Amino acid sequence: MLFNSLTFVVFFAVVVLVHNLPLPWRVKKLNLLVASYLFYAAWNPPFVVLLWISTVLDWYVARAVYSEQRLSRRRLLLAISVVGNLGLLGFFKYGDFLLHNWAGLMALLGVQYVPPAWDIVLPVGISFYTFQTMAYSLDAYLRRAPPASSFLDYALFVTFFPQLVAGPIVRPADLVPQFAEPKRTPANQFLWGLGLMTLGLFEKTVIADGALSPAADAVYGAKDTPAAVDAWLGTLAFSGQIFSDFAGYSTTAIGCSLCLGFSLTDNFRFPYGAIGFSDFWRRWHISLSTWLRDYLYVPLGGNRKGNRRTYVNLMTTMLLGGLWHGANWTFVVWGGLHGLYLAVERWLRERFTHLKLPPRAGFRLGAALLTYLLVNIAWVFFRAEDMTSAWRLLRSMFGLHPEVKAVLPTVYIIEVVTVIAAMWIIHWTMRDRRVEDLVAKTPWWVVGTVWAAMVFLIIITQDEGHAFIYFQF
Amino acid sequence: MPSSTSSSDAVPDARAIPLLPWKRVGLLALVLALAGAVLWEWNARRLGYTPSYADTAGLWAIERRKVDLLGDPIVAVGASRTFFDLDLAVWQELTGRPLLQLSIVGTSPRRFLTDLADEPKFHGLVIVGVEPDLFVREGGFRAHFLDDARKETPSEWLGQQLAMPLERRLAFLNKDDLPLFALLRHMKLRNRKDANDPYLEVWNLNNIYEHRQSYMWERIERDRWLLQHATMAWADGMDETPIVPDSLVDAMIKANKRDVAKIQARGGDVVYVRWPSTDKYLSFENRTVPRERVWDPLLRETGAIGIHFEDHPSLQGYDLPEWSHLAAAETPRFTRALVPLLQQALCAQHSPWAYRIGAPAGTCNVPEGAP
Repeated sequence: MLFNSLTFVVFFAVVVLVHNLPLPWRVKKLNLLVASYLFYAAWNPPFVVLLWISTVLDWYVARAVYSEQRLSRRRLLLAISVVGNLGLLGFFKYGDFLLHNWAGLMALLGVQYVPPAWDIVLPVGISFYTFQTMAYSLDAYLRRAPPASSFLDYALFVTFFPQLVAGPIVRPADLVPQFAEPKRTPANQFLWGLGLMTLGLFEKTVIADGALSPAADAVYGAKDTPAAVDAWLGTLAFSGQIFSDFAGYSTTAIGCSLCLGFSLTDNFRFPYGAIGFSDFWRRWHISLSTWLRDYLYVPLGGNRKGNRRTYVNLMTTMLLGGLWHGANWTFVVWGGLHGLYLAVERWLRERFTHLKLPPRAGFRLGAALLTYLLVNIAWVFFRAEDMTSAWRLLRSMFGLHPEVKAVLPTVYIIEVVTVIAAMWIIHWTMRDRRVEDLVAKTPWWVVGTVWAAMVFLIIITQDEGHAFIYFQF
Repeated sequence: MPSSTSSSDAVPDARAIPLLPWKRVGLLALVLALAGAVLWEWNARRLGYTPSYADTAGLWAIERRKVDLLGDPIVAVGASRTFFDLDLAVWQELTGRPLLQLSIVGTSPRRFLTDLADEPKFHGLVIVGVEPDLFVREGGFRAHFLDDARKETPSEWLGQQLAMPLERRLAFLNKDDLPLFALLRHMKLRNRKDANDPYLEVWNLNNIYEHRQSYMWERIERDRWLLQHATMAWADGMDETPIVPDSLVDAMIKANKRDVAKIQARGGDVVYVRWPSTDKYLSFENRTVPRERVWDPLLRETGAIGIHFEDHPSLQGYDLPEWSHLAAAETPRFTRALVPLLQQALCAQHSPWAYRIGAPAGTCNVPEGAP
């Protein structure tokens, strides 16, 4: 079920109505759990079974691993969780990729191997909920957090519909305790939650789908090589599209949770205003980057095993982070590029610790723009269908392709330039602020008018119910 | 990578809620948004738009599912002419049987004919609209409708059911002209050479009603500027289009031969209909997809019946405001002229479908219930 659909409007209205009936807290949680399963089943009912498998597996593993004292047994139990979850993910998401790469490798060795057809539907949200349940078992193994005492609370943590299919990837310690005590939603919180939902849907339907995706699709789907201007504008359009699409989802999820009385973590903090890549990854898909930090980078040794090992750990984490996004080498290259950016930044910081970035706005602005430029170069790999298309577009961006054609009509160019410029200015000016702070300082009638304008624009944009980009991950 | 061994930034038990009088904020937002929507609806009607179903895969899927329920239905597949030029109520009145409208604008019907041919339980009658330049090719604007219908999720089905009552009542839900970004892209701006010009895309031409009955939009028929735009959109690229290559024609005939044979073997039948076109569109079609290279071999190789508007005076002389589709008032009249011709043609082929679509008893040499 998409947030940007009439089905969700009706679904959410019913859930809110039922949640606000005078029922015992336990019954309310059960209702939310059933609603969450319905939410997921609305895509494809049989795939709820996979959700159950992941839920039940980690419930039992976490309880066992937390109380188990013998290291070998604890490791075995953890392996069951990791293999089980990654096995699910691997089968549905990477099976075809692995088969085709194996066939390619065999071909290089002169062995003819034709892989069988692998026509398996990718269950929506599998990358998110498997990571969430693995985090539950990992926290129990690392004794960072005890397992939940209530299966209902734990099951609701796994399936909580606002964040089930595209995050934020919530930590057990952040959400499970919220289910323990009854929650009332004051009117102010409910309305603020609705406001955030409106903002999220505005980002998705008006900005991502309406204003930016046509230009990005036109450039990345062009049969002929786009001209340099088109290549850059198409990529900038994609940078705005993927941010607005994904941040829109997260904002809607946060608002939806608030309406039900729960708090989710921020997932984006104006990432295009970042200065450098450490800063970027503290602002972009925060729940994933912190998950990778805490469950991959740090267990690998982090920065505690010497310089060389630190760079290896960094690159490994970013390469796997790229692969998490999809079964294609382009995602691996995207992750690898970000790993390279982080590594170079770290090296420069170590070599030139005595040189700090001058506090003058001009230097900081220049550094932020450079960061944004490099982020866009990486986006080329993220968006392109394959490596050939990615290289073709990159060569065009730098004027290195001999035969190019104009692709974008003038109206798309105006839309992209206007929206991206506005977006970047907002990210830059808001980089140290929160939306809540800005809204608190704004006159109430301005907030009401802006809210109305967003609702009106959502209605008249008439989104055709395009899926969120991160659903494919 | 941010270096920290701690878990993610802790979520405060309650997120900060900006201190504002939220009830007043919410009420103002609701009133203004509603006022905006009402004004937008008023403006849409002022501009001549009326409520119409959106042409979605979900709406198409509703009709397609009826094929599976009925077994031997009468189905129309084609592009926009087949969509606009058939009056379903007149058809039912003259034949005694409903017609399922599966035509899709800007889309070749071939894949949809193959879908029916490959459906083991289907043994109905297929009216295949031949819009020549689309028919020789595969794919098209909304070829994805078939896959979308097959993969329709419960959520999408419900969304379609929820949307239809709104679409029956609200004119501003027109998806061709009135979405915000469609309006922006309807501006006439100078473009670079080779760049696509969205101004030249086809704008709203039709309205859609129950059972996917479609008629030409009333305003197009009388608005000179919209008519000019429509003909400009059709004419864009016509002069540069070469004659259809033999390879495409051969592939088209081969595919149709297979599909017709499969349907006929199960007791069904296929009739091809070439709808009228006029003026520059007709000249373009005669030049690039000539009758003797496409229509005639199609009928010869498949053995199917074909009704070409140029062969029948009763199918000529209609008003096609933008060269390609019948005016709304002409659709019932055209259907009344077409049905007897279909009955006669099926009779001449000794097909029991002649009686099944209302040919008077005893007019053909085929017993009525013959398989």
